[in-house]
Amino acid sequence: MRDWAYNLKKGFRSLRRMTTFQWILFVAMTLLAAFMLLPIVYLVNHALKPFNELFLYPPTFIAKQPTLQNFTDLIVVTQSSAVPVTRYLFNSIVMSVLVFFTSCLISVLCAYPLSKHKFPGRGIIFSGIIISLMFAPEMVGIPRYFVISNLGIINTYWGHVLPLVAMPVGVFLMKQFIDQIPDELLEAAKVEGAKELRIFAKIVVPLCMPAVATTAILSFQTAWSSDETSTLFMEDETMKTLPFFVNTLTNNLSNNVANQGAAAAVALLLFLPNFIIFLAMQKKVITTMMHSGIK
Amino acid sequence: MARVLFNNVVKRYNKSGQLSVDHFNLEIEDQEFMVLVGPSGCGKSTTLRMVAGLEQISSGDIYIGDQLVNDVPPKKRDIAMVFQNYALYPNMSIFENMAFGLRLRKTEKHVIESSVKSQSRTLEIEHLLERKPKQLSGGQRQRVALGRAILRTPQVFLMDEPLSNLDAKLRVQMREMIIELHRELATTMIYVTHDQTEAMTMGTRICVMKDGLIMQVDTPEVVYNRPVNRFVASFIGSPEMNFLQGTIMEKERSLYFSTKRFFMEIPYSMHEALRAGGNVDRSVTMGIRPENLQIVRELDEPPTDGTQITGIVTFSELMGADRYIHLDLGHEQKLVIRAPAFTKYADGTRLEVTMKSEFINFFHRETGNAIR
Ligand SMILES: Nc1ncnc2c1ncn2[C@@H]1O[C@H](COP(=O)(O)OP(=O)(O)O)[C@@H](O)[C@H]1O
Ligand SMILES: [Mg+2]
Repeated sequence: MRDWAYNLKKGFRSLRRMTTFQWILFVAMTLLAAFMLLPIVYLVNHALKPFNELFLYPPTFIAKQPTLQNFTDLIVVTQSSAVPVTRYLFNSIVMSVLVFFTSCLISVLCAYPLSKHKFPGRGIIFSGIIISLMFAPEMVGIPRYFVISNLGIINTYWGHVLPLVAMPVGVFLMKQFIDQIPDELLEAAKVEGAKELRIFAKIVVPLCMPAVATTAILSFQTAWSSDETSTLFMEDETMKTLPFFVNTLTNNLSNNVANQGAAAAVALLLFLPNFIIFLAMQKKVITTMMHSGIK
Repeated sequence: MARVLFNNVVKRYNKSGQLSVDHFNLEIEDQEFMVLVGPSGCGKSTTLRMVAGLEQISSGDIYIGDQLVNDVPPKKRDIAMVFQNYALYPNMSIFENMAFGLRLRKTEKHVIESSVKSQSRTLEIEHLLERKPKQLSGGQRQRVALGRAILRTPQVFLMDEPLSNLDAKLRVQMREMIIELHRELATTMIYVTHDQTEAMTMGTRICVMKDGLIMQVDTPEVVYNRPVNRFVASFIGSPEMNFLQGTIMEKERSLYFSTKRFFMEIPYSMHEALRAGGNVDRSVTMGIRPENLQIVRELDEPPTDGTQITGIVTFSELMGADRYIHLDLGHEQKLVIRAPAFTKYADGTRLEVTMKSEFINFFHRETGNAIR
């Protein structure tokens, strides 16, 4: 807390020492930041608006009479249907958490040997991974379906998790990061008698935590907001996830209007975890970068 | 404690490429401080890394003690290595850095604690144990790296330019520290450097390398005074040895070294070698160290008879206790003289100098090998 006050004080002091150009930049950036914040403000307020305010024209940013009505609506809407919203939420959480951990683990496990071990064909493998970055998910939808269906994991969590576990971006990021770890560091450990697994766990992983955190943010966001796996690989309604449910709420023409409130509430629900994970991880990224001592 | 033996060791990084280490034969005795020295890219690090097991040997054998270690992994070789960039684990505290190796050996906790403490006390880094490597200065980091190596009590210490990243003053301090350590631990050390001063001051023997080949292995005194070729002669010593081109001439049963400007008599002890090599009436290169030149006097007029060695001062550098005086002898021949700081001559002065002829070295003009 003391630190915080100190930093603030320091911040103000440096404010006073700014040149004109820095002032202009400062104001412009602040305005830009405020502008970027608007959707979030809208999202939060929209979820809190009572039914009559939802359809006001022109739309308002701030809810005049904030209420939690939309959230109770959400529960009620789905109570009558076969699958309650909590089931979608549960599926989403299971899937996202699994993707979150496995994709980080797989990415770093894949990046380390690509970066620090010389074996025949590693160039080709890495190029393959880079090339796979260029394929949009839509392009590989059908082949992916064949794979998933032949594996017999339609309607299982496997079907949710496996397509998202391989993250070329994550591998790429971590390889770039591990490339920066000096070879001598690993050699020193090797001479001291550390086995490969220990070098990996005690040195490589701690040093590439910033990349791990970044990958974690990316993979969680992808998993949490993906309705693809639900649409393509899940036939059973009880296995589908929250983003899919949001789509049904707004796309279903018959009760398009009636469900707007519930949709606003789910939208907020969808947004919040992303936001929290991002904040938590972002801090991690910065602190690990400061302490890792990697030049 | 162990000897290290290289038997025809060859290292080739690429199948088609050049040899990085070329038929390396060397026996490093137990408790010896061997310095590998040579210009950058001559294969010193490669040699060291092959001893450590970090590089595969293309052909030949390396023995540590009596064990053939060609296919022994690094951790089974009982060696410790200190790197130029310290290679401390940035994510661990200094204590953890030093304890890492001991933990891997499943040393008991209180033993680790006490040995790290006592070792850090001797290296004067005890107050830094809680810090991270990033928070230490270069000298402190290198002491941690040394401490980490010592704690392993290895049979052989390997050091790859450990002082190169330090500033000049710290380098001298650390040099003393390492020499002292070697004396106390009495362990075989192989030390790699490109700095000839370090090589001269630290090694019990020096191995001078060039392009993957051993040029000369001997004590610092011999390497300095009796270099086997021009490369060693000019690489070791600062300022560099002076080289003069001239011819060997025979006159009245004595041998003379003759240039366009002067001639001088060659001491009798060198006659046999010069004659045996058939160098009489051949052009050779003479080498003489700057400290083996003496200024006789100032001259006003250029000499006429060629019995004196004279030159014009082009510039002089004050190095504290010494002054390096650069002379131009004419015909593109130059000399550097190491003189006491108080000997001061204006640029353009003509000086007469003499050589301490017992310190002269002769080299073949073409091969550069010493004639002896
Ligand atoms: N990993 C490597 N791959 C290919 N060539 C290398 C490698 N390491 C060193 N070399 C080559 O081997 C030669 C010797 O290198 P090195 O032992 O590092 O020299 P030094 O330590 O004496 O400066 C150099 O020509 C260098 O280019
Ligand atoms: Mg080197």
